[in-house]
Parts: sequence; C-alpha cells; structure tokens
Amino acid sequence: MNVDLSQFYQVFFDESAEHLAEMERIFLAIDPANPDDEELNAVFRAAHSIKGGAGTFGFPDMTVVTHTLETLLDRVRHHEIALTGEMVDIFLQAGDAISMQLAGHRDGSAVDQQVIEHVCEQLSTISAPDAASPASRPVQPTANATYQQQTETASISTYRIVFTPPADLYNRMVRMEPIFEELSTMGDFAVTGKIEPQQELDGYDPTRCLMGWEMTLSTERPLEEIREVFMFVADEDELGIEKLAPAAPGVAAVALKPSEPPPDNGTVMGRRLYDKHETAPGAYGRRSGETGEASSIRVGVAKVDQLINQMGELVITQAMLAQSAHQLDPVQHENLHRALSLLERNTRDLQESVMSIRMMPINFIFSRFPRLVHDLAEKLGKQVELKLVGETTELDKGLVEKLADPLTHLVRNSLDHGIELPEARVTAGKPAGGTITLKAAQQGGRVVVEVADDGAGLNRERILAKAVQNGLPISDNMSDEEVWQLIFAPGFSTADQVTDVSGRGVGMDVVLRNVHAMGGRVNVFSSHGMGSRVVISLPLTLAILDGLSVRVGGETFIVPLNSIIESLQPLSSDLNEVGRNNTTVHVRGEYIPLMRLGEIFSIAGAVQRPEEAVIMLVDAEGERVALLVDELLGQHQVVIKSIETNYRKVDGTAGATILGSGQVALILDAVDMVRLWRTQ
Amino acid sequence: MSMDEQSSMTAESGAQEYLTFSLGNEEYAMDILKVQEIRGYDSVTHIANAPDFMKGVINLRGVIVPIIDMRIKFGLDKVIYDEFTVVIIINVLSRVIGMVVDGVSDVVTLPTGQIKPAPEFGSSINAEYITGIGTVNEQMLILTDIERLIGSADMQLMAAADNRLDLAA
Repeated sequence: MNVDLSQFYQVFFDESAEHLAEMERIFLAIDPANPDDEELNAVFRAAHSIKGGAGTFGFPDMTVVTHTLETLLDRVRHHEIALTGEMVDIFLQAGDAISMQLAGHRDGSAVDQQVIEHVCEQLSTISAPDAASPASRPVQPTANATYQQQTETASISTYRIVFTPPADLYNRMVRMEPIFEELSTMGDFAVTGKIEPQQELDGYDPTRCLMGWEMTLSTERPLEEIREVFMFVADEDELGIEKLAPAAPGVAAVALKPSEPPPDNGTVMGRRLYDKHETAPGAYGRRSGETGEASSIRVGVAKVDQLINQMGELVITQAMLAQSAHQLDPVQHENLHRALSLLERNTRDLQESVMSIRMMPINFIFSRFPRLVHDLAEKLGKQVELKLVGETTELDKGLVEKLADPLTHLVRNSLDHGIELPEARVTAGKPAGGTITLKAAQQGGRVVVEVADDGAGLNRERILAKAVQNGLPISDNMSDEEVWQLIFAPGFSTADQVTDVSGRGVGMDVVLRNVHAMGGRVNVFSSHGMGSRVVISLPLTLAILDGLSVRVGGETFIVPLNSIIESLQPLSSDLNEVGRNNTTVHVRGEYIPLMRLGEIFSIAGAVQRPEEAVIMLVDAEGERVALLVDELLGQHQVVIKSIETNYRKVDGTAGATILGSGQVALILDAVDMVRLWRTQ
Repeated sequence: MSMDEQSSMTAESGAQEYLTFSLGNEEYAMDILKVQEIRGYDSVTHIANAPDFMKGVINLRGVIVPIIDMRIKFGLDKVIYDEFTVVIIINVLSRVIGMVVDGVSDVVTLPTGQIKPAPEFGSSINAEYITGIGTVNEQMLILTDIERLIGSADMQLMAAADNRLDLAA
C-alpha cells in the first residue's frame, strides 16, 4: 500500500493548528483547582487527534511529544493525578513545542531539539510512577459495569478478543481507531490496551507498535463478522477470539481478571484506550457535536475571490438593466419593472451572502492574546487581566490577517508601558491587577476595534519633551489630542523608551501605517492615571464600498462615503481668494482650503465658479478640505476593481469601478488627492 | 487560439503566424499568440496626468483595461476616432492592454527562413523593438516584439516598482 499522503498534509497542518489553538485556549481558561471535565476531555481529544494525524502522515517526532502529553492528559482527565498550575504551564510549553514541530514540517523552519527534549522530560517527570501510584485502576470498574449491562440481554453473546499485533503494525498504515469504531457499532464494546514498558526516549521509535489490545464485545453478530473486521489487520496467530459464557457478573470479573492488577513481569496496564461514549458516534477524533459548532468546508481563498468578482459583475449587470428599463414607460412595462425590482432585491441578498463568506470573526486574532498577555505579564512581573469583548464581530478575512500585527503591537504597549507594577497601582489607589480590554464592534459600515487599559495613561510632558528632542513642531497650547497624535510620528520611539513606563509610542508609526493601508483610522484617548484607549476604525470589507458619484466636466468619479463630511452650495460671500490660485471656503467659522477636482485631474469643461458648483467637505485623515465638483449624481454601492492589474497606480485614486452604464469610474482617495494637489 | 492553428505551426517547422496591422503607411506584424481579440474603439475613461498616447481605461467584460494609441505614440499626423478605428487587445506580460492602430489587415504565416534581419532605418517604431523584416505578396512587413515595446519604460504602463496594493480582491 503506497498512497501519496503528501496531498493531505495541508489539511493535517490546518487541523493540527486548530487543535493546538483550542488546547491553548482551554489551558488558559482552566482553573487548576477545579477543572471542568468536559474541557479536559476536549484537550485530550485535541492532543489525540494531532497524535493520530502525525502517526498517519509520518511525522514521528510529533507523535513522541503528543503521545507523552496525551498519556498525561488522559490520567488527568480520569482524576488519577490532580491538575496544578505548574502542570498547565508545562502543557502550554508542550503545545508550543508541537507547534514548533508542526511549523518545521510545514514551512521547514528550524526546530530546537533541546526545547523538545526539555518538554518531554518535564512531562515525564509529572507522570513519573511515584506520582501515579494511586492510578491505573479505574479501568476495571468501567469494564465491569459495561459487562453487567451486557449480560442483561440474553440473546447476545460476549466475546473476548485479544489482539497482539506485530511491531510494524503502524508501518503497514493500520490505524486501530476505525476498527474500534466499527466494533463499537456492533454492540457493547470495551477495550483495554497493554503497553510494553517504555524505554528511554532516545531509543524510542514511535513507528513501532508496542501495544496489545484486549477487547470485550457483546453482540448478536456472528463470530465471522468480528473476524472480518480484522481481516486486513491481523494474522490468525495475532488474533484470539473466545466466546464467553453468558454468566453472572462474578464470572465476568474473573474473565477480565488478567487485565486487573499490574503484573510483576513489568507489563504495565495501559489506560483505557477507547470509549465509544467519549465522542459522538462517527465523529472519532473530531470535536464532538455538543460544542454546537456548525459543520464547514474548506475552500481556497482564490475560489471565494472569484465568486466575489463574479458577484460584482452581476451587480453591475443588474444596474445596467435597471438603467435601461428606467427609460421605458412604467405603465406599459409594469411586469418588467416588477421583475427588475425583484431582481434588484435578490441580487442584493445574494451579494450579502457572498460577501459573508469572506467574513470571519475577529476572535481569530483575539484568541492569540490571552497567551501573549499571560506570558508577557509574567515576564514583566505585572498582574494583568485581559477582557475580550465582541469576539464574534465579523470582518473581511484580508483585514483580519492584516490587523494582527498592529493589535499585537498595541497590546504589548499597553502591557509594557500602560499597566503599572502592582505596588505602583496600589499606591495610586487602584487594584493591584490591571485590566486590558480588547473590544470589537460593528458601527455602521465600519468595524471599530479598541485596545484599552486602566494603566497610567499617556504622559503629556514626556511626549512633548521627546517631540522636542526629535525636532517635531510643538507649541505650548497644543490640545491633548494633538499631543497624542505625536506618538504616531515616524521614529518617535527610541530604544531607551522600551523600558520607560509612561512614554508610549514604540513603533506607533508602523501601527498607523498598517491601519491606513487597510483604509482605517486610529484615534488615541488617554487620561492621566486612569488609562488610555486606542481605537482603530476599519471598513467592513475591501471589495465593496459605499460611494457618492459626482460629475466633473464629462467625467464621473466615486467619492467614498466614509470620507465625506457634508456637501453644500457655497455663497460668493463665503469664498475668499488667498494668494494667486488658492481659495478658501468659510463654513461655520472655519476656513477650509478649496480643491478643484477638475484642476487636479486636468478635466476640460469643469465648472469654474464655485458658486455654480457643489462643494463637498472631505475628511482626509483629520484634515478637512473642500472638494469642488460640478454635480452630485447619486449614492451607490460599488465593487472596487484594481486598475493596477493591467495598468499602474493612478495618483489620487483608490481603484476604479464599473458604473451601471458600463463605463469605468475612478474611485477617489481623499488623502492621496490632497497630496497630489499639494505637489501640483 | 485553436488547435488547428497550433498544429499548423508545428507542421511547417519554425513557421509562425502573425497579425498584420497598419500605422500610417507602414505595415507591421505581431505574434498572433499575443492577441486576445480585436474590437472597435469605445469611449474611454480618461486618466489624469498620464502621457497623451494613454487614452484612458475601458471596461472589458468586467476587467479594467488601459488603451494606448500607437498613432499618437509614434507621432502620426492623422489621428481620428470613428467607427473604423480598431483596438487590438493584447495579452502580454500577464497584462491585458488595448492598442489603437489605423487598421488590422490580415493573418499571415511566415516561415523563419523568410524573415530577414531588420536594417537600420527610420520606421516609426524604434529599431529596438523590431525583430526582423518579412515579405508577403511583395509587401514588406515590419515584425515587432510587442512584449518588449509594452514593457519599455517610456510606455509608462507599469509601476516603477511593482509594489501594488491589492485593493480589489
């Protein structure tokens, strides 16, 4: 049997990564003093699945660590050893070690064998025999109880099946789990495993099968059927099946006798290997159905993107149809109009559904922070509690991935510079433990992600001092908001600030840049001694945008709705000439520079006199500018198309879209447009 | 590209098919495998601050395609847009680009032996982008390397550094 397994590697990597994340999540949430049985079971299942996969796909190094971990976890979940906080830490390290091995196989990155050995050593220290002495017995009562149940039905017979496999069992690509599963569907089934004493880990070959299994099965099926299950697995001499006489429970206990006490010849009784109640039937090695998780399929991102593109085409076609039908007489073509409005509604629904495929909960990145905070707080000697709010908020997949780095940065900053040491907090009259809150919520067409802490807050004086040192323009009467903006200046942070408790701003310019690249905004709020809050606001998706179409000369442009503040028709008394070519508009006490769109894009035939045109107040990253256009046409939802696929970036734009008429319209980028205007 | 054409090419060892087009009084030819389609000239969306031969962009079945006018690029006198104006949509360097020419004439098969090296002469297209001279029915054809021409810096069709921001998925 020589199947090319490499084609399934990616699935194994993905699944294992999920299992590891799940394990970590549970370990971080678990209360060592009073662990929840269900959670322990879930962790065990995760470890077990990884081990199973690693064995099947031939990653023996992963099998070693996961096996040791799994063995230990199994004993913990059977309350043979008590869980301690120390153990949880070791489990977390083991999870890291497995991640490292996984990354090694997936990306070819380096694997530190010393770390692996260290973890294995620690794991086996916990499971050392002296700690385990009160163990290895709970097998018996379970088997006994099962047996009692079985004997109640007279028509079925009970078999004792002993399977002593050769050492190369796993190399023959045999997995026992499906066999156990099949047997368990035939009737009441219980299995115990025997394992040879484990030698030094050095010489341990995980591909060798050191186990034997002893099973009892009560079933109505004939003996042949049981043999059939083992057909491709066991040779005749490796398999012993004997029919047990339907007898009183006492006899059953005798029949099971050999598996009870640990024999003296060194053959230690193994743990109970398989229990059909452990997972839902047909779901072996998977998360059980009781977690209520919906089933899902894995689809390549390229396929989803193609779907979204085609959806965009459909939206455009629908708009074209609507536009053509508009010219027809509504009375004469009543049916057509009704059908078209139905089409419009259906298209919109379909579009929403298609877009939702790309959406994923922000928990995808939030989930990594409990660990980060746990580790970093320990390192810094701080007590920090992390609160996650709104983890189910959904965001475009592309954005979620790009958000990871800025958020990590902000959380690190909060921990390092925001939250004070416990003594300092107590002196300040605050609880010794600080709180960092990660919050996500949808607000209109945007998603707002917030990192807040109840630490010391930003220090105005220090920031100003630093700004002077860096030669940034400052003045004494700057508002707090203006001062906080200084931390986003490139190169504001210096190495010596990393250890500074109050001075924030390590690489904040990078955060700002990343968020801008996603079409987002960053705001900082802080109050001295009370903490600070960084708010990131992002568009829901990168593929579709709400925009206002405007006309300048013969050209149509789309202005993103989220950058428009208001539009108005100016009076000549509000317009002031400044210098030779500049005009300002006076709007409610503010003088705002006027940008003529027709001039920026050299469009012939644009309206020259602002009084006869329309002015749009546009927000370009906090700066307000007035954009002069000829006419407002209407509001649309447009599909963003890249001009760069076939051409290059066009200054002042954020891409293009196709209008209902089939014409291409450029989508304006307020910030880039202001930059272009300044350079002209 | 149909199977027939593919096989006919390999049959006549080294022979290649060319699309011939005219610019002013000169006849040019380009590798037919680079041609995606031929269409009429539609109204374009102008792009600001681009060279004058860059006419703008069009919507080609949902794809945004830039249109360049070779007649302006090569300084021909007569540049008019009417129902006879032809756009050759080419697919080079994994980009789709529209090229306005005076007219499309024919598809010809030229065996490699019939292609002579280009002499130093003053055609509209820079000698750098000419691969040779062919003759079909007593008429001279200038064979162009359309890929090099489109990729050249003075066409300004590519970003200087290809650090594009993938806005559309």
